[in-house]
Amino acid sequence: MHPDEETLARLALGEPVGAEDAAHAEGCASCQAFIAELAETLALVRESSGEELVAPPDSVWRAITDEVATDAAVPLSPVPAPAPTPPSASGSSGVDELAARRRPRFGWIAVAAAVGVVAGVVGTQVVPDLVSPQPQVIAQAQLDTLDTGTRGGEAELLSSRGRALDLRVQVKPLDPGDGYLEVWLINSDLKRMVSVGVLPSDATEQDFRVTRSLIDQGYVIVDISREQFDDRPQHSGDSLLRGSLA
Amino acid sequence: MGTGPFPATLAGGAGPTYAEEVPSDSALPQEDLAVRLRDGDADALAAVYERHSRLVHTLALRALGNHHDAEDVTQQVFVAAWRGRHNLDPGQGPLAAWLVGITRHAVADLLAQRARTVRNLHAVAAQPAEPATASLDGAVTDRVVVADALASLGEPRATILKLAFAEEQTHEEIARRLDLPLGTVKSHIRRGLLQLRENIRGVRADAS
Repeated sequence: MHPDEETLARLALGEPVGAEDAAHAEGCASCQAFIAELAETLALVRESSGEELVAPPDSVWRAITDEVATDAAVPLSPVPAPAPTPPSASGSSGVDELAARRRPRFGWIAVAAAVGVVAGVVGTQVVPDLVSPQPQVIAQAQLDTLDTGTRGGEAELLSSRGRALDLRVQVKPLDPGDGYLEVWLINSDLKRMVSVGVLPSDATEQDFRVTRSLIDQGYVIVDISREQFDDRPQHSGDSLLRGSLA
Repeated sequence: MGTGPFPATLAGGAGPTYAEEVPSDSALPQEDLAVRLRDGDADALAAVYERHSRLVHTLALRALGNHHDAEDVTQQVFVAAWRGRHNLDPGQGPLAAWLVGITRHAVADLLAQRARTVRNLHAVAAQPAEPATASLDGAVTDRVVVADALASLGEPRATILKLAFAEEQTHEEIARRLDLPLGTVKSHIRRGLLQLRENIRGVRADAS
C-alpha cells in the first residue's frame, strides 16, 4: 500500500519516515514519480524567490468592465427608467448618459476588484462581510423646494453586495398636475443630467436603480420635476424638489 | 447653488470604504468559480480577476517589458476569458492554466504585431530587421506561476515556505522567528509543498 502524501512529502524533504514506508517508496515507481514532482516543485520555489508579482493598475479592471459591459451577452440588470429618451439639458451629453446607462452592473465590481487586488498584495486582510443582506446608506440628500427651501423629502443612496446602487426617494405626496413626476440626477457641473425614472404620483417611497459610474461621474444632485406628456423628453425646468447627495 | 461636498472615496472610485464588497475567493473553490464564470456570472469574473490578475499581468510584463503593453494584454486576456467562457471546462484543470494559455496567445499576438511594425519600419528605411527577442519564456512562466501559487497559500504558510526554501533557513530558525511550535512549521512545509505541487500542475509551461 502506498504511503500517504504527507509521508511522501517527508521523503522529498529528506525527513525520516517509518521503515516500511521507506522500503515501499524505494521500489514503487508511482511513489518515486510523486516524490520527484515534489522535489521539482521545491526547486521551482527556490528559483522563483526573486520573482516579484506586479498587480495591474485599477484602470485595467475599469477598461475590462467597460469593454464587457458593451457586449450584448452580458446579463445586464434591467434599466429602471421608463423615460423614453435620454434627456439633456444642455443638448451635448446624450452619449455620456447612454454610456452611463449601459453599465449598470460593473461599477461596484471594479471598485471591489481594485481593492481586492491591493488586499491580495498586502496579504492577510480582514475578511469582509459578504453576506450581510442589509443595504448600507452611502450618501444622503435632503430634498427641498427650490423657491422657499421647504423640506419636502429625502433621498438615500443604498449599496448592497453584488448589486448596483439604489437611489431611494422618500417624499411627501407631490402634485403632478396634468403630467407626471420624474426623478433626475444632475451632474455637479450643472450641465449634464440623466433621468432615473418616473415617480408614481401616489408614491411616498420609491427605489431607482442607478450605477456607481454615474455617481463617480458626478451625477449627485437629486431632482424631482413635474413633466408634461409632451414631445420634449428633456427636463421641463419645473423642479419641485432638489438636494445634493453627500 | 451649492452642490455640497461629496465623499472623496465615492467620487474617487477605489477606496477602503468598499472593503466590505471585496469578493472573497477564499470561500470559493476554484472549480466552483470556474463553473460560475462559464455560466456568465459577472461576480465570478471579478473574483477571477482578483485572484489571477497579478499572474497574468506579471507574465505579460515579463514577456513584453513595458507596462503599457502588459496592461493591454491583461485587459485582453480577461475580456477574452469572459467572451470565451463557454469554452471553459471546469473539470479540465486549474483556471490559472486556462488563463496562462490565453495570456500566451495574447502575448504572441502582440509580439507578432510588433514584429510586423518593426519590419515595416525597416522596409521603409531599407535596413535589415532585427528579430524580436522578447517572448513568454517557459522558465519565466514557471517562476511567475510558482511565485503566484506561493503567494496564494495564505499566511503563515507562504512565509514559512519562503523562509525555508528561498532563504534556506532551518526549521528551528523559522519556528523561533515566527514564534511557532517546530511541529507546526514542519507541518506547514509539508502541506504547503503538497498544495503547491497541486496548484502548479497543468499551469506550468511544459505541461500545457
